[in-house]
Amino acid sequence: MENFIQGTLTLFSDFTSIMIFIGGLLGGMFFGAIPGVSMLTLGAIILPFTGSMTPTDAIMLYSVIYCSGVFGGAITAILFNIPGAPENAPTAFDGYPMTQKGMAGKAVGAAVLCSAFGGTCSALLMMSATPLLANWAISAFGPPEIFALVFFGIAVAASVGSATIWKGWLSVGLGLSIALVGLDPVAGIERYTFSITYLLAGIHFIPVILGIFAISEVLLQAEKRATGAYKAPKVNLDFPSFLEFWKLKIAVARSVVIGFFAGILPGIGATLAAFMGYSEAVRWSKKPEEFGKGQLEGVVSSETSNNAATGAAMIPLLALGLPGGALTAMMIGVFQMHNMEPGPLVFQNSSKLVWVVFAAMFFANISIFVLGWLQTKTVVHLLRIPFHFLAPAIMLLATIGSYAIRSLTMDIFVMFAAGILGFFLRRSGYSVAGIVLGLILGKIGEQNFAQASQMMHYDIMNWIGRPIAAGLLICGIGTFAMQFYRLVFTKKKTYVIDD
Amino acid sequence: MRKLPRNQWIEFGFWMFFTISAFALTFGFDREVNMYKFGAAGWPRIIIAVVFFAALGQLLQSLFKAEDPDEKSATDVVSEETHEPLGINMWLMLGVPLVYALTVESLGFYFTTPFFLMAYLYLTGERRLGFLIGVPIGIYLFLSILFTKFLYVGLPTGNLPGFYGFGTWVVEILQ
Repeated sequence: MENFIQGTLTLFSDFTSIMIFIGGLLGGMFFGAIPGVSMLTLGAIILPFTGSMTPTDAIMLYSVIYCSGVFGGAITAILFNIPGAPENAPTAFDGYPMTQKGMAGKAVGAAVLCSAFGGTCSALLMMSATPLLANWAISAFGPPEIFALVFFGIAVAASVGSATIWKGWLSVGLGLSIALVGLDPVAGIERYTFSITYLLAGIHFIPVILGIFAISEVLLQAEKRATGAYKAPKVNLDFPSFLEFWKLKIAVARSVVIGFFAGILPGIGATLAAFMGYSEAVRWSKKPEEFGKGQLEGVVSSETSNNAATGAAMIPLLALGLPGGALTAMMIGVFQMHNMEPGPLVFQNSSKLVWVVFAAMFFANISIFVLGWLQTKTVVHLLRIPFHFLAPAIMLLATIGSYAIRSLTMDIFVMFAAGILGFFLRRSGYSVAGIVLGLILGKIGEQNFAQASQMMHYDIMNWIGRPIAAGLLICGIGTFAMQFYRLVFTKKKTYVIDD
Repeated sequence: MRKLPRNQWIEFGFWMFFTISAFALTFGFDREVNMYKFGAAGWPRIIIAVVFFAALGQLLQSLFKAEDPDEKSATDVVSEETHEPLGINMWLMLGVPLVYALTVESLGFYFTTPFFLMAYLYLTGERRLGFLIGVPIGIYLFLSILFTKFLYVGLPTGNLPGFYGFGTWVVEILQ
């Protein structure tokens, strides 16, 4: 506690530090909300300038950007079905349907509150147990556990937002199939590339996400407009009530735990955290068929998880010097620019820096709540923009967003092609959420499956010796069994589509 | 067993074509990998099998699950609500973005985008000349300035003579 107070005083006693804190907060929110130019773009742009800052200010700036950047993308995901970053994609699954139902204020409010809550819990956990948790997570979670986690996530994904469970599986299978394109993760053998150089690196998931969410939505709305069925979404500024949140307390607590542990694991980070948080919400729900159609719990789970991952991602970075993702890798660069190395010695040699960073992350999450509340009251009015202004702007934003990642015009083509495919699939009752889940989890799953198989010497009995992996695999198989049971023994239809 | 509408057979045919061709293509990269028993084709074949059985399951469910006319399957709901044939206007709406995506590399973002936005607005039913010109230009200028000047995002300038010159000229002005 004493360290935290000291860190807080250091942070807020210096005018420059305060300005850097505010700049990082607003910059992260702004860049996080624009597809294609995520918080990573901001991190890359400012990297050269951090050389002139103190190491404490520089690392603090990146940690604040990380917190606010993960939240920023939720707004566009909810209002326009454009996730600002991959970790906000599950937020769009239910956030956008809520907007269509005239509950945009409630969805944005939930995102604000849960982002702030998830991030704050994560910061508190990070402060209390960084070295201990880092060592445990690194030793207990290897490729078998990560594969089992992905398997479990995929098993749940099929039940999100499709007309039938089979269509859910087809959607997930399509996403997994798209993830196959490129080089195989073990030996680098070309698969489904058709000798096209562009496909060697695989199909990037950001153009697919932008196409499948934003472009397909514009096309569907355009079709409704052409047939006279278009209805502008109602603008509603109602914040979710305390009672609504209280009902979701278990979902929030579960998402904090999932997000936090996913965040600790190097290379997993906020994206998988958000997907896993969402999948678990679906799995535990008594009405899984309602997800993808505007369930507040969907927004709550996704946003709590991805923000809970932010504090956790700092744990392996600070305690072991292992970056969990791209932004934390940039932080290593910042450390090195100041002739420092993150790792166990940081706690002894640069205790002040560590506690300023911890305090900054804590207050950044508190600030998200205040700024986010103001944002809810203002940004929802964007929905008043008429369709003929909004549609071209969304298309152009998606175009720039997909091109900006790798500067490849082929990504623009992939984005529009994914949009058209998404348009037809949504009209036919397939789940775009399932496709995206399959696409993101597929790459991680295959890589870890290959490593796990080698580690386990291809002997299924060896999995039993890893209780976490075995437990997750059993849960995944149980989920399959439950889906099949519902399919065979539930007479009345369970799944209804919203399109 | 009930008679299925044509679109469901088309859907099933699509998935069969997808899985069979994807499976056939796996033989093109079915090579042994040192230290990895399943090789490069093992994982893809599992995925293809999942898609194949899901497509089969979907077909069987549609054929056998909804015999009672009072009990509609979800598929019926889909076919009633969203399988309306697309009009020529909608097909154009799907085609125009692809044409834009294919031309943006050679003609450049700065040249093609205003025309694309105008065409798209026209197809969505906008006929007021002021809006048809003003809205695309406004959005184009706002986003171009934001990304080119303030966010330093390099956008395609085109590679054909004349168009490349135009693209770089616009970038110079914006910056």
